[in-house]
Amino acid sequence: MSGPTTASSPVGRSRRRSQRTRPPAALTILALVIALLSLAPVGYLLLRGGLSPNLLIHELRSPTTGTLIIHTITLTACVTAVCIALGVGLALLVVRTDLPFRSLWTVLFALPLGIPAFVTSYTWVATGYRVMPQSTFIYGLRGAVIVLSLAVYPYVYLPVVAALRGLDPAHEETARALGSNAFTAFFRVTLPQLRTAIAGGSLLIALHMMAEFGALELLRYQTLTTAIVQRVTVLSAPEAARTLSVVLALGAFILLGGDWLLRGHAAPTRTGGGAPRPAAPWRLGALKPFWLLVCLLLMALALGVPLYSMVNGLVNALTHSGAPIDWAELGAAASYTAQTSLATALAATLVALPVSLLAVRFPGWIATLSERATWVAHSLPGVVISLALVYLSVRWLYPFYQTSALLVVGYVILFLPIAVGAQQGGIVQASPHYDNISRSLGVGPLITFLRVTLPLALPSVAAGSMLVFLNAGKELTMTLLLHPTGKHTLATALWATTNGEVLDFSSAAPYAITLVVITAVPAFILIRHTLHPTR
Amino acid sequence: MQELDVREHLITQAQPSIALSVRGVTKTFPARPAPVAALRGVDLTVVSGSFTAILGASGCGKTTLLRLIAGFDRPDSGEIRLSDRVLAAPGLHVSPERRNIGIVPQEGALFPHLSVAQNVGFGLGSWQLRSLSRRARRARAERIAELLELVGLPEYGERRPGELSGGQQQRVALARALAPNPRVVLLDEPFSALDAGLRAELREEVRELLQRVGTTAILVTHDQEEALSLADHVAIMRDGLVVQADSPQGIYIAPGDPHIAAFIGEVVLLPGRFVDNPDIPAPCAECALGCVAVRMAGGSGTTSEQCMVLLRPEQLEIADHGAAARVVSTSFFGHDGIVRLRLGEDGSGPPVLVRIQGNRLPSSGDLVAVRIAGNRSAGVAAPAFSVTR
Repeated sequence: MSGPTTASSPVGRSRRRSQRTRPPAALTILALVIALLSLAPVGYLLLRGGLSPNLLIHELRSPTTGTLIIHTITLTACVTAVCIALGVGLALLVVRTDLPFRSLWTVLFALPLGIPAFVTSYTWVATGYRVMPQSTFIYGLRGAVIVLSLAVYPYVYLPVVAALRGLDPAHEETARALGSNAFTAFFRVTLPQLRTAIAGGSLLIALHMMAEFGALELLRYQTLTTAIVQRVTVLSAPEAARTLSVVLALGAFILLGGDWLLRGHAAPTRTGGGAPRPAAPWRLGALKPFWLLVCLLLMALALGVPLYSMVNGLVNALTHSGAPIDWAELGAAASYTAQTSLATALAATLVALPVSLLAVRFPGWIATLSERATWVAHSLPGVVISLALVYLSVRWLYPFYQTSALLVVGYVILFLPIAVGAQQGGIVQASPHYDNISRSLGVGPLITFLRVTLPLALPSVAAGSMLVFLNAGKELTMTLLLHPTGKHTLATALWATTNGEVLDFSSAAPYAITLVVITAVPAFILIRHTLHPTR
Repeated sequence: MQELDVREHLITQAQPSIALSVRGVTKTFPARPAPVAALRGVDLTVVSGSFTAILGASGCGKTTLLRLIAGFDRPDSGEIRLSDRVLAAPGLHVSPERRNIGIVPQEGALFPHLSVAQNVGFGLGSWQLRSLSRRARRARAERIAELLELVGLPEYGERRPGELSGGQQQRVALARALAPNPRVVLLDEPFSALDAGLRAELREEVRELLQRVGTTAILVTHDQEEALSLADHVAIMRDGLVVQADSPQGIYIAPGDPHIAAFIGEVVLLPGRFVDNPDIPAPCAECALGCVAVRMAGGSGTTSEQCMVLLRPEQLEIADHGAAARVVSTSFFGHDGIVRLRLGEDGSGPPVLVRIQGNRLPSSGDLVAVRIAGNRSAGVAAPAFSVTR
């Protein structure tokens, strides 16, 4: 944080004016090329699919498609709603109440972020099979909503915790002084200020639900995405898959548009100066044991079940009561995951830099266009981008078909906006104000970028790389469609052990644990970064 | 005073060493609903080695002018020269890093990722190939030590900017700006974020330091006390124009118009008319406080022509006899006080301010007598403005 003081300094005061200067041509061209490339696969797919209206209408009229659409919408709405309730509720519990061990709970509640949703589902299915083999409780919509909500609610919880901590308690106190009670003050003053954080997290979750494949396949709930993957891999019906992709893409666009409308203008959370001071906590009083129990139960479900299954499965595998561990394959999958994720993180960071720089430093229609273009690609389910990349490479870039390079390209397109979003925060802090001073000291523009802008933005740039690494490491759907034959990531190797029939977690456990170890490190760093923001 | 002005004028005539000149500079920013003309033809001359203050209310364009001089923005028209080198002209723009003009921003704005020494050494070419030699590195370290010594922070090289107080950050910012030996250093309201005591102390220090180094300095400020006490040349800006440029005394004694007068200090403006007075050789005007020697700042001075006579509160006093006035209110400042009066026994006349010693403040409602202090024929020489403004 550069603090409220530097923002008002005169060199910075004219920032909005000086931003009207035109961006360097090279930067503009670079950003436009990136925008074009990230739109290319989607554009191709939409044009191809959209240009055959007969097929589209035919597919839409089939009764299965209608069911799939309804399923997708129901699941997305239910999981998003449950996650908002869960995420906001838990955030309030750890930030605003006198719950015992608050700092411990704060971190614990965020940890499900480190376990991919399909791994959580896998462990639930395996546990369910072992405990109650005849029960179908966790299958279908009910199971999907419960399991997926437990897996993805941190996407709402984390930003809301950060936003709650950054709020100026003076607003709520003023409302109280004006005659509101604690609850009306919260709903009228505090909750509206959390809108941006909640909207951002919900959008991520809703998009995730539309794109989820692995978890829903295991929990036996058919959505558009599972149907598309099925049509490509099992039924070999690429035309039908493409048409369904267009329907799914349209849904994603509607969601994105709705989010922009809902979010409106983000209001500043703190208007006053000085250090934020914590608001007086709400007393839980006699209900304290009850809330502690709720927290314990929740963590037992969200973290206990997956961890227990993994450890238990690993013990089984090691004691040879289950299938023996294929160490060579595990090693190969782990190293391939690390390689592709690392390559993706580096590439996405480099590609994102021009887009973020342009968006922060030179706002205008070109900047908006390139930034939105990356978001459009991200809002589309991975399966849609994968299909587009498959078609594009088969048609025009055959040497790329079935290579790791194509997989990395897919990852980069999918996760680019994550890097852009993280970098922008840092570039905002590295205000042009510092560039001006550097220039006045006789340092040219390029060296100024290297000596001033980049070091100041580095923490955020690094955080963006971490996020991309995390996401690429646990990606399943796109990897299933794009990975070269014979090469497996941990996610696909883990997926291969389900074989469609889940009986035991033993053979999956080594992959799951390795995957969780790989993704947990960046997840933990991300959690720390969100919960303890440093300058 | 007038004589002194003339002498100063002659000195600058004899050594016309101009450090920086700004000629007819304009700058308009696109804005809605209408474009904003921030500068509308600014002229400014800064003499080598001088300390010039650009004084104006917020929004007058002073920060824009500073940014143009530093090279952060381009003027729409006009010319900026550094002695004989053109920095900005139509079709020509020297980038900031080639201007050799330093800047000390408000709040210091030290690079947060660098130590104090690294901040000071930032402009000393550490990223150039030829600076890699051991000799260059040693010279650089010596220069940093010398500058930190100069600003009184010799032991602070390894500190982080966040560990310094506001005043210390400003000093480091000054050292950083002076390090590459700039031809001109721009001070952008550098004291405004500090508390009153520290501000006064740091101002004195900075002035002394700049005198010792001999660097030409331009201070942008909205604080008239700061401008008058620090600078040896003051340029007043209003609505994108330099409306008056003179020595601090010159501006205080002979302001160009009543607005400038009111901007740089408390004023008493009384309606009057020019008269012939055989006792006073200079032109003089008759006002509610009697006959005053005036200097013409407007109007022709024709006898019995209407005018506005400008007096300062310290030129008036409360005495045993004089014009009757009612006390409206008083303000106590410690070292002195201001008494707000309205002339006339019933307090219906024009308002008047009198500065008196703080321990003798009258009470509201008192009836007092007010008169012009000292020798009214020679000591006052109040500016008289034309009424037809």
